[in-house]
Amino acid sequence: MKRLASILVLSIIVLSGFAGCSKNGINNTTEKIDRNRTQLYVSNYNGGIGTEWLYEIKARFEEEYKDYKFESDTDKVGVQLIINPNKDSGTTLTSTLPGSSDEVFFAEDIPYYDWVSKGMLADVSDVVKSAAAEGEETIENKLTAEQRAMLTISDGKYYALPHYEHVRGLQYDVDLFERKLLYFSMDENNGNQGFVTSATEQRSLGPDGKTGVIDGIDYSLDDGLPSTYDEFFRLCDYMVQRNVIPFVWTGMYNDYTLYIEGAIFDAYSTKTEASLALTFDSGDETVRVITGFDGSGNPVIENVKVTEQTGYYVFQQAGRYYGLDFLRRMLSDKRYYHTLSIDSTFSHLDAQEQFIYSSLENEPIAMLMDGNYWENEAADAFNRSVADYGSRAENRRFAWMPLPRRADEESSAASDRAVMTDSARSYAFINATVESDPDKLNLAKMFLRYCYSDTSLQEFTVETGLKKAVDYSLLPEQEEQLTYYAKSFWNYRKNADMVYNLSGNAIFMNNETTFTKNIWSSQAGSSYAYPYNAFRSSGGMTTKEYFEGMWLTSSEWTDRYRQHFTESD
Amino acid sequence: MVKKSVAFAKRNRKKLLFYCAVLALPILQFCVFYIGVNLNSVLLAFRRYDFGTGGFVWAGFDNLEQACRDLIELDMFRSSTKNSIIVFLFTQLFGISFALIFSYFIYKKMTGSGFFKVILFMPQIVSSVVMVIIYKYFVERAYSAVVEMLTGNTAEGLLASPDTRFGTILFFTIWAGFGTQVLMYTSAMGGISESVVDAARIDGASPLREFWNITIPGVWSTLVTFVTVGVAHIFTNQMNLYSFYGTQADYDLYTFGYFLYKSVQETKSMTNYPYIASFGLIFTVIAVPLTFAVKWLFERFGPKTD
Repeated sequence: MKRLASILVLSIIVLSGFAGCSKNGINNTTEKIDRNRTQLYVSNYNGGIGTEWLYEIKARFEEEYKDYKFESDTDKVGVQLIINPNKDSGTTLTSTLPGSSDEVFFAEDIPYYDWVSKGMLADVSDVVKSAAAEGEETIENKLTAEQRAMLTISDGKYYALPHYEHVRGLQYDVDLFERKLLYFSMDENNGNQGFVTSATEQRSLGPDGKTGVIDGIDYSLDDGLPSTYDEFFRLCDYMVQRNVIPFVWTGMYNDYTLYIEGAIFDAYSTKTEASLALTFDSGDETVRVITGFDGSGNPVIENVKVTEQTGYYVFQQAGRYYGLDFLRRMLSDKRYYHTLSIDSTFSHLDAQEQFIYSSLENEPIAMLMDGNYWENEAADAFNRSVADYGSRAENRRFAWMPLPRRADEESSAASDRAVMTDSARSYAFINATVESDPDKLNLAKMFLRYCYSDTSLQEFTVETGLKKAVDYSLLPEQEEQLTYYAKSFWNYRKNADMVYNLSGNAIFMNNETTFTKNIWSSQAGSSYAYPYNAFRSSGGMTTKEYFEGMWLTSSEWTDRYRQHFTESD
Repeated sequence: MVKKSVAFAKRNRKKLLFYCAVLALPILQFCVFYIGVNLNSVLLAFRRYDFGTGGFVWAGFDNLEQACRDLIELDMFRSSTKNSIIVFLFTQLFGISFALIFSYFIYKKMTGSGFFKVILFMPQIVSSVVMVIIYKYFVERAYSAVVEMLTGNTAEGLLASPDTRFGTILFFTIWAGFGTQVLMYTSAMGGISESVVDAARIDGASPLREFWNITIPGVWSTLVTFVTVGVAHIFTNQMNLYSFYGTQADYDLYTFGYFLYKSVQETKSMTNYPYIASFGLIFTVIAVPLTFAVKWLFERFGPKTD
């Protein structure tokens, strides 16, 4: 017995040493090498989007080029893609890329300008400037003007292509909304606090203020959803009355708590406003900033032009105030969120599972705070729910939640188009080490080009439900193949401008963390990186206090960033 | 005679060769991974990344100036200073005191000493990631469940509440630090002469007096080592925050050690490294004289075994 106990304890001790290990850096492929074909090693960040999409391209690419000779000095015919799914991203790859055996990469969090300056990426300008397939426009034409400018800012050459769009916000359970009638009525005075009383009652126009299908965009998907922040919290109260928990999110990762501020900020902003922390230049447009508060504590909003010299206005943008205030209101009532959302053992996967299971277990949760990739990431949880609840758990409808674009009834949305921010810094590129082998470089470029053909782009979206960060459309039959969630996101994206996390501005390039993740930090009494913690701390901070703690004075701004701009500019 | 001396020289040469071969690798490793790395880190504090050349260029004192200004102006560093000092004081006062008491307990083989040994050594043996996970479940879910069971009221976990999480992590840090100290102290106590202990006992010394007048002076040099290392560790102790939060701890929990580690881990660009290196340099300038001063004071004024 004593011996058995000793072995058990020893086993736990030995095995616990592997607890923090992941598969990073290990080539995870089990595919046998075919000596008669040329191999191309492809690394893929196996996060929320998975790797299935790449296996589909592999099958087509290998078949299409099965008779093609890639190497001039061998008898090999055809190509074999060796796919390496892993979790290597930015910082890790910076040190491992030059020694990596992988040749083509699809990865996240890439410091593009750093790597270009260090010569770590192969020049793929010829790929970008050519058509990916016969009869198609060039890949360059599938990029936005901003993408073209930013990707070539170093020396006029392209070294990578944008991979996929990664957006953060709220996801909601459509079936639950329908069942519990959680929609606003077109008739505010219908005797039910303004909420519909039947499934057929006409709903309000929602955040976009339109309904019906116009130019291929279905504006009716958001009908009945709240169009102001006050409406949103009236809906939360109504949910609580109907025994629905409005929100769930992971308590394990503080970063997730920044998703809602960012999403509200985007929804409120114009594209110029949402890009301001990347460009520090509003051009001929003005942006809305808060310069103070009136006697009642309401923000005083002014329209100003912003240049590098007045870059401190990025911390005073009105959208940031409303993002913070939205979060504070979310946290102001414990009935608004699931109890485990503040528990540090509750992971994002747990939150997804809780959200999926909640309706099935009659403890419904209406909305999940997560990224647009959540459905892929939660595939196992969906499968488990079907195994546990059978047909009840099949074909469920979840959707991307359009958020209010205006603060109150009196104001109007700043733009007709929605704005979203892509935060992943996700790229496809070829390892510069491949440049020493012209045959291999040619193969790698052929493959990269192949991945950006309309067929491959469409296949990617059908498989993952996500959009690649280039311009393309889906055929109606392909849209039909999407899940309900993916359809809702695709539809929303059609009428949205995307802000990509890439800037050639010296202030941004030299202080990227400050103007991305840390942009919500504040010195309000104490110092906070996450407003979530400030609003939850004892005494509870007001939005005004937190917001003012984010500001920099003109002289503080100049002291800190003057080396990146000339004061006479 | 000459033949003998040639053979001796040959044998010595072989020994020297063996000696050099054995030492070469560790010396090379020391040169590259200690001297090289630290020298590079010091130089980095005076450079900045240039996107044009893809390398670091001379930047004078810009980074140090920025770091000094931030240390003074940013609230984040005020909480880092406060927390680093609290962690230092608590790990020294409570950590060392309790480690000495537990070690004495184990050294004297008192009842339950075996149990204490297991509990105190466990954090050193089991992976810290596993220990943190177990601890998190205990202070979040188990604690809430127990409070709810006893009072009928719901309670936030100790890490979930912004008001209790610092204390909860500090407690873990002190507990997790016991293992090494207890091991070293019990081993040092084992070296105390039995005859001195017996003589004291015959003279009627109580266990407390024995602990104070014989055991403490007996392990004083070990204690000084721990205090000295603790002082040197002020700017690098990250209070296990990375195991608890990854790079996502909030500023009110920061220590300087966590700030440095986290900044390197989550840096998005090469441009950040010189700024972080300048903090390393500033902390070194403060820590080195402080460490030597504390060591001198303890050795000068501490008890003597003779």
